[in-house]
Amino acid sequence: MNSRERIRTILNRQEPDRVGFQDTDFFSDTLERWHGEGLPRSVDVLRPNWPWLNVPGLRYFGHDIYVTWPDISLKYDAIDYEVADNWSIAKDEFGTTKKSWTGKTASPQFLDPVVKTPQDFEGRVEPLLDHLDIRRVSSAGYPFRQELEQMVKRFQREFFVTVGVVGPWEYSTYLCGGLAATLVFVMKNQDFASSMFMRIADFLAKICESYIAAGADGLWVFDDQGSQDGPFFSPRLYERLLEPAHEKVCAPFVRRDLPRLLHSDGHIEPLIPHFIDAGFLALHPVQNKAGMDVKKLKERYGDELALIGGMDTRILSSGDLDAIRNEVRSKIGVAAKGGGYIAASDGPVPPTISLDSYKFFVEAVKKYGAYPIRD
Amino acid sequence: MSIQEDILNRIRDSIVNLDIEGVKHACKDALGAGLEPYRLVQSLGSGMEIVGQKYEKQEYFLADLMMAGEATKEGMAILKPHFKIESLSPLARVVLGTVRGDLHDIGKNIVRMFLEAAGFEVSDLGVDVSADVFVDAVRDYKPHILGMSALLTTTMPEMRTVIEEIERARARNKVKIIIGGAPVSSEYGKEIGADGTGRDAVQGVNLCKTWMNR
Repeated sequence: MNSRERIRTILNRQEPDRVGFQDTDFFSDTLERWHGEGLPRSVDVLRPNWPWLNVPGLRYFGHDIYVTWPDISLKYDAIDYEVADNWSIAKDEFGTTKKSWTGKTASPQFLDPVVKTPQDFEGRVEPLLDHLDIRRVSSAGYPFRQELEQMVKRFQREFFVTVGVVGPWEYSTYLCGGLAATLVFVMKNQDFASSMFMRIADFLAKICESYIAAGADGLWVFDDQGSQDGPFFSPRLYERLLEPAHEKVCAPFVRRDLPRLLHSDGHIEPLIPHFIDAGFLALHPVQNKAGMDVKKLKERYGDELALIGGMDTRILSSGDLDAIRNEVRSKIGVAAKGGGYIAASDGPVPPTISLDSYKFFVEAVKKYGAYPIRD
Repeated sequence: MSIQEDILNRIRDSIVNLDIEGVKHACKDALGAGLEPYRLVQSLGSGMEIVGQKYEKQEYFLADLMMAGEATKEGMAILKPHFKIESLSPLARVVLGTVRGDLHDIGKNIVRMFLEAAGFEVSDLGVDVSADVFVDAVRDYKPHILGMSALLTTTMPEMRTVIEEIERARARNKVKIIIGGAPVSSEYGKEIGADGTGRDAVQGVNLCKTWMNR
């Protein structure tokens, strides 16, 4: 099987030739360490402060999925306010001023968000959520449609190609100034927040439609809904405020029976039934330290949800090859039965994992992930 | 029930119900009824304590914690101009900060919210705080408790550095140290010589209260 066939089979919850493999986030520090341990310099993150692996990296480690990222920003011109040796303060393309580390993968500090009131959203954001803007792929006047289609076809020779977008919640945090400020904004303006999420979701869905037209294989929404302690919102509030927005983003793909993947860190198990109702059929990354257990989730939701991740980065960091082998065997032994499993770390790959340990992990996935899966 | 008790209960219940306007009205009514501001602060604190308990039981979620914090902040803003200096005797002094190289602060801010509502006096050093700034704060502010937060495995080691620097400054026995954050475990806390580790913000605050025998 090639990667497209493998991932499509897995996401249909059928048994492929072997489990899929797809790690997403890599800290810059991780790759810096690995370059010192012999990783080719061609393997790197896509761009500074964007922890996604580049194409040479996807090939080097044998990933199965290529994610293409449309520009969903508001396209504000960036303004640099202050640049120091290892941090900078700048207004970004969402109109939000942040302090960010340079050459380090870490969350920024929000200093001045573009949205502090509902009126800010209506004046500074909503007019720019314009899918008809000729610069956007969703516009009928977008002049590079053929190149987009060729790009999708080109990468489909090697990978399962998904379109990647942040979800309406995460998008809102870019506008409202990070997690804490956005939580307060949403709680104080719940009705407005609901319509704000729907407006963002509508924009995202229209952008993603163009990728469907270009031949993309599926959708991957990145939308953290919780922390280690639990979901950000009660399930009831998620159902009222966010589920309709997630459903809207998934809808174009649901209509065409194309897979919909959701990335959410944290202990978000209480929300899983709602994610399924919204249209998602795969969940990533299944964080162990947040109490998410890939074996338990397979048992409870395996008929409705494919799982991506669950390999404990704390064990990978130990350097103990026996422990890493056991981790891979035991997780695959349960999660991969009947298909529906793509192996991956349970979070960003940290610099505490050596290159040798990681390569051992990748090889173990290939070895123990071949079907038929042995107990 | 007396009018005063009714108002104090309204303050507490408005916090629990995440009702910002309810808190504001109740605080204004309380001041109008001549209630001492410190009693109203205690009611705010009682409300936050119940919110914390609901969070631990997973009846409340992070969004609810933040909203309760906002309600407390609004209540305090009404009460503070009416504080007399002599009625201000904090339970204890606490210094908080996110360690050097780390810009995350939501956990630390929740801890600050709960500590202030419980009557602690908090000096928040912010984020990306270097070891020498922590040491200066311990020396100058003389807190009873120092709290450090880190959200990344790569910044966690800074906590050890801070504790070592405080030891070098011969101030270790003068302050209790609590650490917290997503990658931080109680084993790590013991390893680096912290006095305690907060599994989450609410548990961390409860530990601080225990230390101060509250």
